[in-house]
Amino acid sequence: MKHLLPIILILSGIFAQSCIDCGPQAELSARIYFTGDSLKLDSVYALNAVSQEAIRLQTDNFTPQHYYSISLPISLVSDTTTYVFRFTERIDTLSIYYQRIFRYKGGCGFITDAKEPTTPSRYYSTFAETDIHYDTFVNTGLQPWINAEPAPGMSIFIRP
Amino acid sequence: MRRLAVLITLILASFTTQAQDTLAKRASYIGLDVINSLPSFIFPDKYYIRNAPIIEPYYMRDLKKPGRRLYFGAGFASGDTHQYTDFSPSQAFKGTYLRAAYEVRRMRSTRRILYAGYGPVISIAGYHGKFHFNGPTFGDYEGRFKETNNVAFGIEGYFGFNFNLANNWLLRLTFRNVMGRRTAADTYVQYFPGFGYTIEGLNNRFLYSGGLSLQIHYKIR
Repeated sequence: MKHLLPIILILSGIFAQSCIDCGPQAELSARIYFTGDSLKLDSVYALNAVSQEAIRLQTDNFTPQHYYSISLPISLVSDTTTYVFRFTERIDTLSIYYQRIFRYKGGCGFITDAKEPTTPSRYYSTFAETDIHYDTFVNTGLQPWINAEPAPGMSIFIRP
Repeated sequence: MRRLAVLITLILASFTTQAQDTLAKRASYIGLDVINSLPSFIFPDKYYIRNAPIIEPYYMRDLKKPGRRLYFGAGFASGDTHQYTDFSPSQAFKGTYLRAAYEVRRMRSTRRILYAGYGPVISIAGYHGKFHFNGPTFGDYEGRFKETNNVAFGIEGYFGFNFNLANNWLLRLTFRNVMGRRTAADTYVQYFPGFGYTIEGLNNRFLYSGGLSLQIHYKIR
């Protein structure tokens, strides 16, 4: 019994372990949610892209049955990214504006993040309704050891 | 390099003025660190710094009290650190530093003398480098970081052995620990001249390092 207290302390120390969230440390992706959509999305084309592969993978696995979302990479070399959405009956354009952040984070090295742009315009869109939410891609502080949630990042809600 | 020359001149100037008022013959030595930069040239891919000349001249002077000594060192280091990842990239550093210490020594045998000391360290350094993010869809991003005139203050503690070589030559093997704090710390610095390799974590401002130094000294007086 004498050793119970140290054991409890050690065990609680192990369970209280936490880690740092470095974020994606790669090309960031914006999450796009389609709401109340009846159209069928065929493909998405990104302007100024060197490869459409990552986007093609998203649209190939795309099933229009559910309430759905896709994740589209945003540019690391520019503060704006433009996509062309090709549906069966129509074509829509969406440009999103953001501000890239490259900074140093302890334990991670250099990290990348994006936030609200300094310019007043946040997007240009031909969709009926568009809404954009900026949130960090990198959680601040320490994250729990288990069940750590990734940071939400940018979310775009679209009603075609 | 010019900054270093000015510092050395200043140190030497202070010694010459001091030297005039002493009548008792007390030993003084000049020395040079001989191994500090060697591993960076011999194992450029394995060691944490690459092709880094580190020049450290020393001056030692016995005090009136027996077995006590003052120890001064200057230093200049320039080179590159190891590239770990695209996010912890290689850093090109350059810096000048000064250290002083109060030292106590104990005779172990006629040839081998144990000593220990402590004192302040000040270092001015700059470093820069590039980091890289892969962008498979839109293209890669390459960013730069740069810090100039980064000043660090610290305290160093050490112990070691003096080996008396033939006529007036002295070999010093020193084990040292140094900790300090730097004024600006936007990025983690892998190698801070005068402080050495620093572990990452807690606070980028805090520098802590341990190391080994082998010096050859010549008795000038």
